[in-house]
Amino acid sequence: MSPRIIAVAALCSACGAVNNTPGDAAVDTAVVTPRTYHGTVPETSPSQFGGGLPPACTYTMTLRQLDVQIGIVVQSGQPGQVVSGQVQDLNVEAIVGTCQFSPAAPSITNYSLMSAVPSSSGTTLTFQEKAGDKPGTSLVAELSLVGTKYQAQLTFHRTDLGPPLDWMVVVIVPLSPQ
Amino acid sequence: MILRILAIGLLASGCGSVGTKPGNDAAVDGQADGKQDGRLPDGPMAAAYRGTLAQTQPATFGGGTFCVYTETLKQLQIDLDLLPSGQAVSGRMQALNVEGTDPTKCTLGVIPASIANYTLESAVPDGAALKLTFRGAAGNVPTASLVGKLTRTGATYSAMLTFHRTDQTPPLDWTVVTTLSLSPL
Repeated sequence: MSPRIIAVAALCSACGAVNNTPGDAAVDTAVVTPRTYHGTVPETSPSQFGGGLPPACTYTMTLRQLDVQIGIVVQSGQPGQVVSGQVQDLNVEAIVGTCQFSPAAPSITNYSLMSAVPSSSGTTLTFQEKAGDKPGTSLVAELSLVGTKYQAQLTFHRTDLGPPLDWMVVVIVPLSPQ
Repeated sequence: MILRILAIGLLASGCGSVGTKPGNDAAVDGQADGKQDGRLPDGPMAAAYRGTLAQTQPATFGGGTFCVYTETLKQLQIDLDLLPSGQAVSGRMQALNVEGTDPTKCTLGVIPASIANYTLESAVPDGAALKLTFRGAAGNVPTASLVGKLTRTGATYSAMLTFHRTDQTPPLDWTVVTTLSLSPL
């Protein structure tokens, strides 16, 4: 009789083992999800461009309502891996002194992450401007860890005009986990 | 006899595992509203729809003891994730607030242009349409409410949107109404 009982007990224990096996739900929790790091800058310092002999004018470009969101997968003991990124800002052009030409109207530009490549100081992020947004602008960011906090140095560069009208704005944005 | 017991045990173990293991479907059913990822259990995926508009007609506000101003919304873009049924599972709206005035009649100037972002908060059936309510982003200045009425027109959708400034009282609380056509991305 005892071999029968042992056999039944063995099968029942197998039954329990199946019930305790981590299922899909447990696997789901093991998936590492990116954490969003967010930073805002109300207004950058004005960047001067243009100039030259009249009737050329000197202008400034100021980026307002700068909003940066970076998705980073952080795993202990390893550098964070950037998996997503969004940047939005308002381009505001102004005239220095007087000028017969008006500045361009304020416009929103949106950027989305195109690539993230490790660099000597962290990660170089290249963004793509949303189709239809103007003016044509490139955006490259250098993401780095300063102590325990991330920061991004963003470089905006107008690309649809040549010098001296191709303004450049560089700004550092501290990022906080959301 | 041992074989019988073994057979019974096998059947019992099978029943136990099916009966007590949390099923995938059950877990997914918990997200039946589809808001987690825009997907119903074993059901259809939400499709992305977008509508854009370069700028609205200027809406006049103010007057009386105040200057007369206009409010124009530019670079409007609405993005909605819609199920085939027409139910909206998520959405976003972008606009550029641009205030204007006649400088020969008003010396007070206007507030600077500013980005306004909104996120879909609710989508409730309203007859054959869908009533959309958005929440303004924390950084929106000035603050404005945004509601919409989404209707289907064949393969596309039409959203009638009403923006209303909420941090001023009449006659400075402008309202801008505009309609955007949404197409699948």
